Amino acid sequence: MNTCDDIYYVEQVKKGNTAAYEVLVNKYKDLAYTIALRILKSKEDAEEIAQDAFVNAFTKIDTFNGESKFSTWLYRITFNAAISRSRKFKPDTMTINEEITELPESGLDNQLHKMSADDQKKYLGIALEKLDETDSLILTLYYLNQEKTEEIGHITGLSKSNVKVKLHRARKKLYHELQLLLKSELKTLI
Amino acid sequence: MKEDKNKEKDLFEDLFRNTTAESTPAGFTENVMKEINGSEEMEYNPIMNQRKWGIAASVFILIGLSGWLTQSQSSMEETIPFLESLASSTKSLMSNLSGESLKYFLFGFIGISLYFIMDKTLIVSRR
Repeated sequence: MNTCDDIYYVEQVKKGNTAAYEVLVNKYKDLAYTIALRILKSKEDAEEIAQDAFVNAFTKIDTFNGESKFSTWLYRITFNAAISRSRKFKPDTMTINEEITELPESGLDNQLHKMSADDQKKYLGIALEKLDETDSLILTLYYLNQEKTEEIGHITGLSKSNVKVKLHRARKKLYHELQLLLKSELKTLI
Repeated sequence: MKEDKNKEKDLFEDLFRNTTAESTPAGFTENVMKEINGSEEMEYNPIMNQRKWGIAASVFILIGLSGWLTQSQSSMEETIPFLESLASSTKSLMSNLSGESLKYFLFGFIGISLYFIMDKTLIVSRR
């Protein structure tokens, strides 16, 4: 299903065919949920926010004019809802030093490549959770959903160049987090 | 430095390639659709609103009862003062009306009642 199909289903919903919306929900629910989860870091909150985002998108569907992709529009609604919620109940978080510039000499790549896909997913998930909400989200959208920096900008409200800078920094932080994780894991094994 | 940057990029591309988006908990779509259908029902389909049916049923019962009481002088008139007064006022009103005008009066009464019920229901459901 491509974006042309999305337009067809959006038009159907606008005409009053509510059932057509189910197709869109099924198509985008996982990434909408992931976006909320990256920001809120709680499965229950993420589920609630993602569901609310779909309901909000449905009630505002007449305002969707097709200038952007439906997914971009929906993810932006999800992002805004999740950000508002996280600001309301912001937990104490530890900020990671912004000045991480050194690249490791040890083979993180090798270590990770030797792991099973499940372990890779596990460590990536833990490392992403430790990142700042926007960094984690930008990386997810860029790598997981293959979104262009321009689309990410539309979702997060950042400029294209700002997304690029943040993406670069986020990569560094994630690299650093993965290193720390694998080091501590290695220590526990020894 | 550029080599390191590319290396880092490739590593993440590989890592994320093996990862999928988090799966939503079971029943996610059903909950969304339920909520959508629920809100739609409240917004556009007040006919199904239970509150409206409750009020409509009460009004029709009252109309029926008062009509019935005007036809027969039952003992209920003595025991239920509200119905008694309602019945006597309806009766005195109807006694002044001819057969044709009585029909119009009843249609009008039901129409006005329905209008108020619908109006009240719409306000409640949109709130």
